[in-house]
Amino acid sequence: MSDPRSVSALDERAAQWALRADADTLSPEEEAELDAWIAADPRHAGAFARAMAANAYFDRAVALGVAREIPDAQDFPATQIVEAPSRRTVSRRLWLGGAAGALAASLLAAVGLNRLTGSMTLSADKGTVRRTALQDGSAVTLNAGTEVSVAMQPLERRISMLAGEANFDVARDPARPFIVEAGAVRIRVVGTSFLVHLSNLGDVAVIVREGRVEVQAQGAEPALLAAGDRIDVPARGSIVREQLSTGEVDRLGLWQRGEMDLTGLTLADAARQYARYSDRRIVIDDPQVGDLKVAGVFSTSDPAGFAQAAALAHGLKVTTSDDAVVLSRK
Amino acid sequence: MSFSRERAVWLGRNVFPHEAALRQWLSARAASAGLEVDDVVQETYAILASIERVDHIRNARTYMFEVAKSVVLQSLRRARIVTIDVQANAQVLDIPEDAPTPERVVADRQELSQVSAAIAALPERCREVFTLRKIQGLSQRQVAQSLGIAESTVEKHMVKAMAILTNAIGRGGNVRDASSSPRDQQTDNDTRERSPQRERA
Repeated sequence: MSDPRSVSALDERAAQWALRADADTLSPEEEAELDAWIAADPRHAGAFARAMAANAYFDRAVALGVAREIPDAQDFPATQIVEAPSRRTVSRRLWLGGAAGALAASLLAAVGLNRLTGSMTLSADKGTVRRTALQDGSAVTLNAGTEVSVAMQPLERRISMLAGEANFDVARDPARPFIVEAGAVRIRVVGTSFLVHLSNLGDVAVIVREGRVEVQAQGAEPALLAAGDRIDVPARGSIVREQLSTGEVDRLGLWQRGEMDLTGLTLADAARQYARYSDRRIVIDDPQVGDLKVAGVFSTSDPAGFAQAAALAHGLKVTTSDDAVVLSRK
Repeated sequence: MSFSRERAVWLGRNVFPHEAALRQWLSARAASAGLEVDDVVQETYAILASIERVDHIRNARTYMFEVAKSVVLQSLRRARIVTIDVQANAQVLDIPEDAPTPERVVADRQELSQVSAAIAALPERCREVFTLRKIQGLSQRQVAQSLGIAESTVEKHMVKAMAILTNAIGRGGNVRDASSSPRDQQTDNDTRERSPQRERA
């Protein structure tokens, strides 16, 4: 492989423009200069787009906690910062949504079930999201605190959900339907990707990401769902069907990549969400602090990072200990 | 700026992570068509940056490969370098499936440590500047003050750092060799979970 340290002049120039554009420090003259540079050579536009992409990628890696992995990043403790970082930096972090691959997928605790035969139970403990490949080429991703039992039989593939939330990416096999049982609901699939949420009260939600799924609630006609459809089957009350946007479907599946979208939640709600994934609790004693709103997509494995971002956004104080992160007013 | 911040984020999230795979896929094919891989990759980015919408793209990796493929095919048609018919070439250009194989899952898990290894392998001054600027979130001026160097020097190191990191991840440069961290030698066992100590480290 080539030495990454040997960098072409074009790549370097593109990186320079990308960093300047990203920092919003371009003067009108520089902006004109950038436009002229892009127009000067057909390769420049692509090199610039690539440099902007790489810059966003590294911002995201940082937001997902890459610093924890670097030995001497600790040599620069936050206390060394003379002025507080500008508010813009914070909002930029918050605005970085979605994932660059599953960077936070270190949470995965997949177990080799490839040679799976007969029936067995899979579960994801607190703080883990677990993706498991099944013998037929399908894959099951379990959110924290989820338990399913899997039975691969010659004529059908059957999953029983005992609790929690799971995503199914189903390998196409019309001869062997893929059946998921969640509470009183039975979902029959041919080849697709869908999410099932089963609450402690027995409410079931099914969201189809790709393909088609047939959902049958006890005592009701089977309903055929297509990509983007959501059906809610409450333990009591009537069934509700709705069409979701692609963005909403993506957002609902974020936990699979070790992320969650906390936009619109209060700090207290966000702290409760983190309790699902981490033993390091976010503690908020002041109810007024707990009512503050948060926005953005965050790594489920980094409650401290989230608390820092929230503190910067709202001017709060963060006190950390081994098992807790306390947010309070300054 | 010629395209939106949102698009840059979309590219960073969905396209850049697959650039090394695209280059690998292209290396045999583009060369046989007399094309430079760099040129095809840049053209692919230029197209992805300029298309009006991306929200309809479900699988960005496949889409990126499709765009690169059309770039290759178009230059073949334009240049008429070869006598073989384009259809035959199109088959050589079959796009690999992106099934979530176990290897792929492992690859995702390694991504973060690959990035941190690349950062750790930066020349010292570049790494310092990158850490202060990107990880600590200091402005260029604050970095200059805290290291006692000129702002232009900060920019120079930062540009160098970004270009090297972009190469390391985008071209699949051999970051592992450049890093001496023993953690990289560890095989990522499927059942191994992140220990709480590492979490806080």
